This record gives sequence, structure tokens and C-alpha cells, in this order.
Amino acid sequence: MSSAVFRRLRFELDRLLLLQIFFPLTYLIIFMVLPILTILLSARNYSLSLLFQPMYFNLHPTGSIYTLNKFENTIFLQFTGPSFGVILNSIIIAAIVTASASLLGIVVAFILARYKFRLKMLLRIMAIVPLLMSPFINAYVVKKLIGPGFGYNTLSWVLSHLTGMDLRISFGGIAGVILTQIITFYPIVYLNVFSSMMNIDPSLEEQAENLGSKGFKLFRTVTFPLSLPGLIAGAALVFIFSLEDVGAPIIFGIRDVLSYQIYNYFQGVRVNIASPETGALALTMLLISLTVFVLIRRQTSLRQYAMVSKGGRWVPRERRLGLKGKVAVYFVVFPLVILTMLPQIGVFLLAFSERWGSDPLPSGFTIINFIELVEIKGVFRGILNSLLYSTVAVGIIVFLGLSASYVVARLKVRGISLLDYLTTMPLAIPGLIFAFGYFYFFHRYFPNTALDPLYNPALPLILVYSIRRLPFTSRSVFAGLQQTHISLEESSLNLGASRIRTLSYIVIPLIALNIASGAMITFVYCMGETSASITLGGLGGDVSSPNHKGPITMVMLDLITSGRLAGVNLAAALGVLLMCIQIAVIVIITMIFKQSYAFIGV
Amino acid sequence: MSNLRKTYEGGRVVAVDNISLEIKDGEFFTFLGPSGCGKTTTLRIIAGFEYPDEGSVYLGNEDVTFKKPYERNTAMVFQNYALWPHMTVYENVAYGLKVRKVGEAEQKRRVREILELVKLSGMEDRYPSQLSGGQQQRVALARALVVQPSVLLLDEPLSNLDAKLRLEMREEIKKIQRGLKITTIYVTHDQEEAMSISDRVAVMNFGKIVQIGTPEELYFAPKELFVATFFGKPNILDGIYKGEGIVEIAKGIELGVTVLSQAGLKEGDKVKVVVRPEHIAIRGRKQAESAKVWKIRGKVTMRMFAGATQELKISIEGNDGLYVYISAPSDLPIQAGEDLEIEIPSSRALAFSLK
Repeated sequence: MSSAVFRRLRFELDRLLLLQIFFPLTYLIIFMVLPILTILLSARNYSLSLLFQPMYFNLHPTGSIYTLNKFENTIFLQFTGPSFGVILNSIIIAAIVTASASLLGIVVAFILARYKFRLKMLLRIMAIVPLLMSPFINAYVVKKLIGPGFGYNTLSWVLSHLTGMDLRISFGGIAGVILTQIITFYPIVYLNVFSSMMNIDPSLEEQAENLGSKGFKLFRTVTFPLSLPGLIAGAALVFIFSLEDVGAPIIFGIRDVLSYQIYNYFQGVRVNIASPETGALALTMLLISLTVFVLIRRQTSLRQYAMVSKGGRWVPRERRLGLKGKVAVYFVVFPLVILTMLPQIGVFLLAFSERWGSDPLPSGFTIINFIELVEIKGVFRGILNSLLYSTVAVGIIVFLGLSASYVVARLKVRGISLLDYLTTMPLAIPGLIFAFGYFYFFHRYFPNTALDPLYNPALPLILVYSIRRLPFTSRSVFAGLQQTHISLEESSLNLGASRIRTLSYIVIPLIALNIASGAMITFVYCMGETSASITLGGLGGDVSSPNHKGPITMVMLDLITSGRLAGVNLAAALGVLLMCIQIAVIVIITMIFKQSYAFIGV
Repeated sequence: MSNLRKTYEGGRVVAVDNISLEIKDGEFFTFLGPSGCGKTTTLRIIAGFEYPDEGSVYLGNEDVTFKKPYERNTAMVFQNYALWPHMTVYENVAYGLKVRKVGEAEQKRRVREILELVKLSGMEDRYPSQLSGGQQQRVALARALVVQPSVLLLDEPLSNLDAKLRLEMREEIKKIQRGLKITTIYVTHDQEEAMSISDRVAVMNFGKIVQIGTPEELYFAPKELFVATFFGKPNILDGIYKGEGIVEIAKGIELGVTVLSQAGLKEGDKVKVVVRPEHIAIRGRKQAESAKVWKIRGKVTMRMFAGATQELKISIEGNDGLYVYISAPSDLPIQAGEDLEIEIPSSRALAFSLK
């Protein structure tokens, strides 16, 4: 038996394949598995009963959903939301956001996948605008639009002009966080459900219609169940993103959530006041997201949702809208989607304006903010840092992704699915967990080396990027390999070419577009990475120092929170810069490479 | 090849079951069988893409069982041609020569010669997507031939071509193989293709070789029911062996048969009798090829015109549900509903035991 196994391995493997297996495997184990294991192992340092203290777990909430006050002719309606303690808050917020984003996502996906109407293309484009990354500053804009403030927020301003009443509605605290996240994350559900629906064989629906099913019954019995894999994947990602989102809580001042607590740990590290219980909170967050990951891996595979794939293979089934449908699309869906675009629009306005104080809208056109991006040394340093970190990370990722995906796609040896599992897992692990794990692991076991984030966060950041964004490239490469028939490689081997020659002359040229588009998306998402950037990145100095180690996103947060004059405008300019890079990449991939771009978000 | 065995899914699926055979130098050898019979797996073991669980593969005297594909001098033409879309015809064909570090001038000469042989001169700079199916097929063949392999492997190379082109290419391949005297192993599920092109054919089923022989041997002297029924569309009649070359196919209807299988038959054995439609004669109208015939009365219940021939469905008199098909020249004047007498030569009625 063992000799048969040995014989099999000797036949299947050669030096190149061994390298392709062991390089990614070793890399993922050292830079992902070990740091995360240390978090798991540290569990024995805490009493888990700690987590059931009222601060973390509180079934008797403090605060209420809304408050209504009236002073003379002015009505104040403030939505805030009760607090159930750090852990419950995180779960409740994530659950509400996931449910709402799923509902909105399904509606938009269904309308776009099955109906034909004027301006449909426009709606499709508008629906993905919320995914354009402008970390922190988009939440800041949401707060300006609907959040609490001294004067009118934009919403109240519009309402009082429309109704003539002095009505001041504001969404603050947890309510603000929830709204911001729904707006930001619903396109993830929409895109996944949409691509599921486009991949349903039209004859399946036609068969159902042929048997007399129509309308909502057809949707409920055929279309919806068949697009469930997309919904599950999308919803799971939204849940995890919501759980780890630290932008909205910081902007809305919500400290009672897991993400803020972990972020706060790093704020304290430099001055040695970090709370040791944070380890238990990180562990909790890790366990929640791993549970979600395992559940959806059982249901469906994440792989198909994080890649650049060829779009629908069929001629899609499209119907014209009836009158009721038209009213619904033009008077409900369009306005709703426009509402979700407002943060991005606001960021653009803010970047080109002089101020947006307590007025309902920004004012004073200027381009000084963009000039200052280069002139303020600390800001420009952030841009350079991000470019450097992202470029190096993409280089590593291409090598890792090419190796791992090739092995997973082509090698039929038992246990190889472990590598598949490991390369997909970063999608499901919150960035904050990586940051925390890196700090725990490398600061403790490699103090004062290049790996120690407290010593110099540059290398750890590159490493975190290279792991967190790996799925974007590896899935794209995997898709390319699946579309390339294996006989193209076999005929090369058959003609006497070695594996390395076959790889470089046949495989890589054939999937060059997949590699390129994967690498470009990866680059964009490295540039926009937030969780590790603001935590680990923040350990290397702040914007005031011209030689700090932080990337763009850390600079943006610094600019918003430091109270610097025109800081938010500068942050908005950086946001615009990020969005422009992303738009350029989308255009190149869809227009020039002719591949459909399925992105999953921050 | 000796005692080759290959299983999948931990031994539960046996793809190739104990195959031993020798293919001669310069021979055109074909593996024929229904899909899933293990013929392609056998070919892939020879090419080195798979390795057997047991047994060995020799090229000449060299054991190549565990050699990598690129360490054995075989050349394969894939079912989907596997032409590299990012390379021109010239680059595709020259690839194997480049790998073998053949000099530039020599490369050019050999590619030119081989493209001439497959009638593709002047197409060097085209890309595969600019070629028709037949031309792609020729490039694939040229790419394999140019490296002068010790064995040429062809995996259902004609299955993606339309019927007319398939006949043309079949002839072409045969001609080139004859000219170059190259040992060739061919895999197909098309029995007509196999018979027309091969020196010898191995009929496979369920991973086993059922019979090896020349096309004539397989057609006229099949050793097993499977082989007999695999070629053409023969009549298969159930019957009981009565001894001395006689089978009763229905109450009171007897037929003289030939028993070819080695196992032999005993009186009372259940048998299946295989008779090819083209071997059945019609008394007074279609001459039997042997004098020793058995006569049965019947009625033409259906007539299907098929161009060169006509297919007649004859119901046997007095036996509902018992019928045979006859293939007759299409100009023979026969009408549906006619009563006639058919003649079955006992040399062409092959009886096989059901055991």
C-alpha cells in the first residue's frame, strides 16, 4: 500500500510541482495560520466568563431606538438604537445589515436580470457605485447627510424645504452605522445574486412557465432557489464585512462593537495602555467569522464569487415591464439606488469644495485639496507607501496565486483541497484579526525584527496584503485554468517539453489576461485595504511625521479624526484618487480585456 | 503492454483490467469500444499521462511505465486537437523541434516538409482560429509527426469532423501512416472507422480486451456475442440449442447455425443467434452466398428505403413479435405486405451461449 502511494507521488510530482505546492503552503501557514492560531491558543489566558459581563453581553439594553422632542415649532426625531454590549451589538448590527442588504440586493438583481427597460444600463452602473472604495470618508459623508449635528443635516434640510415644517431627523449611533453599512454593502449581494440568476439555464424557467407557473410563484419556486448559492455567498460576505467594519463605528462614535474595540487596542499599544481583554474579543470575532465561513463552504463554494469570470452563457430571459412594474422601477428602485450613491457623490463634492461645516451642502469650489495631497509631506508619504506596499504584495500574490491555483486545478492528489481551502479562507477572516494575530505573533516571537509591526509595520503590512488579497488573483487564475483545456498542456508534455517550459510557453500565455485582470483588481484592493492599514499601519507614526509608515487609508482616517483644518476635504481627495484608480481598472478589465468584473467589496 | 490494470476511486471503478498485448513495429493498431470501455485510459497510459496500478508498458525493450510524458518519444493527436491558440501553425508544429533543440535551418526544413505532407503549405502564419476543422486536424497531425515519434497516438481524431471530411481524413491518415511506416495506435468508438483503417483491432468492453484480430476476423469470426453485435446492426434471435448445429428459435422453427466460441454448446443451452441483415437471402429474388440454407416463411411488415439498400422487416409466420431485418438491394421490387420465404445460410448464423 505505502509503496503504491509512493509510486503515485513519484509519478505525479516533480520538482516544479513540489515548489508550486510547498511555497504557497508554507507561506500561508507562516503568515496566516500561525498568527491566527496564536489568537486561538491565547484563549486559555482568559476566563471566557469575561465575555458575559454586561459591557460585552447585555440583555438589558441601554438607550432606545429613537427619541422624539419638540421645541416650539421644531421637531427633533433622533434614531440612535439601544446598546446590548460589545459582542451582541456586533452580531445584531451584522444581522440587520445582512438581512436588509440581502432584500435590497435581491430586488435590484432580479429587476436587472429579468426585465428590460429604458436606462437599464445606467441602473446597472449606478448599482455598483457604492462599492467604489472611499474608506471612512464615505461614512463621514453619510453622517453629514443624515447624522446628528448642530444645524440641519442634508436630509432634514431637504425635508423642511419640501414640507415647510421644521423637522429635524437624524440617524446617529448604531442606527447610523447600520444605514451606512447597508448602503455600502448591498451591492455585494446584488452582484452575487445577479450572476447566479444570469447563470440559470433559461430553459429551467421556461419549463416552469410551460407547466403554468408565472409571476411571483415562478420566482419563489424556481428562480429564487436556483440563485440561492449567490445569495448565501453574498450574504455571508456582507455579514463578515459588517462585523469587521471599523469605519462607520469610528465616524459615528460607536465604541461598543468588536471592531472598534480591536482597533482601539492598537491605539493604546503605543502608549502601553492596551486592554488585555481585547484578545478575547478578537477570538470572539474570529470564531463568529469562521463559523460563517464553514457554514457557507458547506452550502456553496466561495470560489466562484471572488473571481473575474465569464458572464452568463445564455441569452438571458428578459421581459418588458408592465405599467405597475415601470412605476416600481422608476419611482422606487431608481431613487433608492440613487440614494445609495450619495456617499460617493458627496465624497467627490467634498474633495472639490472648500468647506462643509454645519451647512446642508458643501460650498466653495477648489482644487487645492488635490494639490495638497502632494505638498503635504505626510499625506504624500502615505500615497507612496501604499503604492510600494501594494506593488510588492501584488508581485507576491501573482506568484502565490499562480502556483496554488495551478496545483488545485490540475493535480489530482488527495489532500490538495487543503490548499484550496487555505487560499479561499482569507476572504472570510476579518482584517482586524490578521492585524491582531500579526501583532500577537510577530511582536512576541520576532521582536525588533522587520517582522515586528511595532518595530516597522512596512513588511507586516505587505504580508497582510499579500494574504488578504490573494483570493482575488488565485480565483481569477483558477477560472482561466478551468477555461483552458488540459490537453493543451498535455500535448506540450507529450512533445517532450518539461513542466517549466510548458508552464511558461503554454499555460501562462494562455491565461495571461486572467493573471493581468486578477493582479489589477488585487492592486486596487490592496490600495484600499483598511483594517490592517489603520491598525498595524498606525504603529509607524502618523501624518504629522513625513516619514511615517502608514498607507493611504491610515492617512485618510488620521485626516478625518485629527481635527486638522480641511482634513476631511483632503481625505475626500484621497478617496477620489482611490475611486479613480478603481474606475480605471474596471474600465480596462471590462472594455479592453472583455472580462466581466465581479468584485466583492472592501 | 503486460497485465495493465488501472482503477479509479480507490479501486471501485476498474478502467483497464489486465490488458496484455504486443503491437508490432509499423503496425496500425486500433482500440475499439463503447464509451467508458477504457480505451482512452489505455492510450493515456501509453502516452504517460496516467500510470497503471499494475503492469508495465514497454517501448521496444525499454520499460517506460513510470517515465514522464516528456521522457518518452510518443506523439499524440488529441480529440480536440489541442492546438495552442496563441501560436501560429508554424510555431505549433515547430514546438516539438524547439524542445528537442533542433537547429533553426533544420526546423524550417522539417516543418515545411511535414506541412507539405498534410497539404497545408502556405498556412504557416495562420492562427488555429483561422483554420477550418479539417485543417486544424492536419496541423495537429503534422505537429505530432514532425518529431518522428516512435509511436503515434490518435485519440478519436476524427470525431469532431463532419461525415464527408471524416472519410477524407481517414484515407489521408492511412496513406500517411503507410508512407512513413510509423507505428500507430488509434482509439475510436466507430466500428466502421476502425475496420477500414486498421491492420489489427482490439475490441474492448468494461476495461477488458474482448478480442484482438484483423477487421475480417472480427467481422466474420467473432468469438463473443459482444463482438458479433458491435459490428453493424445484426439480428439477434433467442433460441435453444438442439445439438448438431441446430437451434430452435420458435416453436417449430429451426435454424442451422455455426458455433465459433471455444466454450462449445450443449443440448438445451439457451443461445443467442446473430445473423447480419446483408447475409439473409430471399428465395427467388436475392441469391444466398452458400447452398446450405434454412428456409423460413414470413411477411414484409415494413420497408425502409435507404438509398443503395432497402431495409425489410420480416415477421415470421405464426409467431407474433418474432421478426428479422434484411438488407436488400434497393432496386429489388418488394412491397410491404408481401409474403415471401427467406433463406439463412447456416455458415452466417452464429450461435453464442448465454453463459
